[in-house]
Amino acid sequence: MTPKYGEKLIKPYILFFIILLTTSGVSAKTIKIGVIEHSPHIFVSDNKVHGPALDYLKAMLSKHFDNVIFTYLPTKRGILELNKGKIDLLFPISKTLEIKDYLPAALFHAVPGLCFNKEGFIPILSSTNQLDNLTIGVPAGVKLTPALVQSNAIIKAIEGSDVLFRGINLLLKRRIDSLYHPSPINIYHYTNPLSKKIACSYFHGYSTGLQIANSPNMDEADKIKLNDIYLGHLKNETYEYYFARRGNKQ
Amino acid sequence: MFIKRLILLCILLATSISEAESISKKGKIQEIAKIYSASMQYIFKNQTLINQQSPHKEALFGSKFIKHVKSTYQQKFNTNSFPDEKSLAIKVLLEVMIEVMEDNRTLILDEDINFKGFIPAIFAFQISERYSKKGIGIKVKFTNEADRVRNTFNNPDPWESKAIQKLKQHKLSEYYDENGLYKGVKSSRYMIPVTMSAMCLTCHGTPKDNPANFNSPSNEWTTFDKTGFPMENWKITDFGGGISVTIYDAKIWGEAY
Repeated sequence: MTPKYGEKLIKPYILFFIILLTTSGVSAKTIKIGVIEHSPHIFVSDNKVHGPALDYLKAMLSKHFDNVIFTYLPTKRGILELNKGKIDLLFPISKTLEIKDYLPAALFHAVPGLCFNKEGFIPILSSTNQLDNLTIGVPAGVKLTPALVQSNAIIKAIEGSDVLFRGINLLLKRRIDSLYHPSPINIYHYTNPLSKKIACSYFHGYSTGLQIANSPNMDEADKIKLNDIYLGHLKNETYEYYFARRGNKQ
Repeated sequence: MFIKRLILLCILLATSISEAESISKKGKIQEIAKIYSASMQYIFKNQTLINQQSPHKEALFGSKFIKHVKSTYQQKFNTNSFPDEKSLAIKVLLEVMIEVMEDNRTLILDEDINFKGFIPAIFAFQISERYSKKGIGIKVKFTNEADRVRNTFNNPDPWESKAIQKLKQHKLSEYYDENGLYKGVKSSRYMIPVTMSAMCLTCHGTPKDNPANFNSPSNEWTTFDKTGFPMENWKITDFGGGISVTIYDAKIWGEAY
């Protein structure tokens, strides 16, 4: 059967569209990732981001995307840009009602704790009787662990802007005995000079997963593919183990 | 006649496969408990290294730490071998140990702090917490009777309370239950007792056992140990707790095992 003239004309276009459809999607395009500062996993200097968490994700994504662009964003702006679809992903962020979609597993976990000047260090926080009558600075808006709520510590709210920075200063000036921090590893880590002045201990058992959030504008097929890429990479090596394996070569 | 024999053969075969699977499951859950126990012992033996002011503590991190856990395991259980590190449960457990040690690197290397508080129970709890979040359907825990637990996160669940009683009453070296319950789910559960040692008593014993009291008259003795907890007056013959392992997701048996 000889094809009609119209069919002859249409066939190459159909073929073209089939090729276009199968090669588009997450496999050949740019992915924009908003990054929130979270040392020692993510460092920001001169508005540029670097660190082991970025190295890990870059290794994962560069196999599937032509361009992987990381941009430093403060948390609130990051959420706005994500929800507007200006960025595809935002990390690391704990689950919040302001964001609907996340990749299927936490990248790493944050454990809250208390920071002290070294001479007043308390290593084990489950012995809460040691917190009796200590003045503990708590940044406004940060949720306290039940262990601290139930203790006889004197809680002093730290209000205003940049509350963590203010809290650290209050601690260094000895105006508080301790500072509650949602993730003390941000400051008590050998990569941070503050670790020479202060020491922190943890409320183990109260960890929070830090996630990679998806833009709500992301195409459903792209989202599924990204989930598969992410889970495959985690199965090969989790970020937490990757970070630990690098040891002090961060 | 032939059909009867065939049916009998099938029944015998099915029974022996089921028994072999059961032995294999028990062997695997035992391995997890033994490695966890060996790692606690290594932390226990290295309290001086952990607390001393020295930058040379490589034996506590990365692959060197695992190497020492393996040799502790071999000495403790009098064997030249070590469980298959390619099996998912063992691989993840060893990775978690490296993660926990790395989490504590800043503290362990902090030369301004004399007592780091990185004692076996604290190490064990951090391992338990991280291991349970890996999504492989296994939970490992260092527990004791409810009135003997310092951190309420380590309180025993009903199965563990029963296992502790069995271990104590019958002086068992292990307790295994292939049909145990964990949060209402049928699970393989296992517990081994932890032997009390003189070092345990420096915190859990009487004020007389507390090194802080060694050079003081008894009327000045503190009743709190160096971690800040009240001492419990335990004796060396008391039950030192149990290492509890739960495999609640049957998929783990099929994956890499």
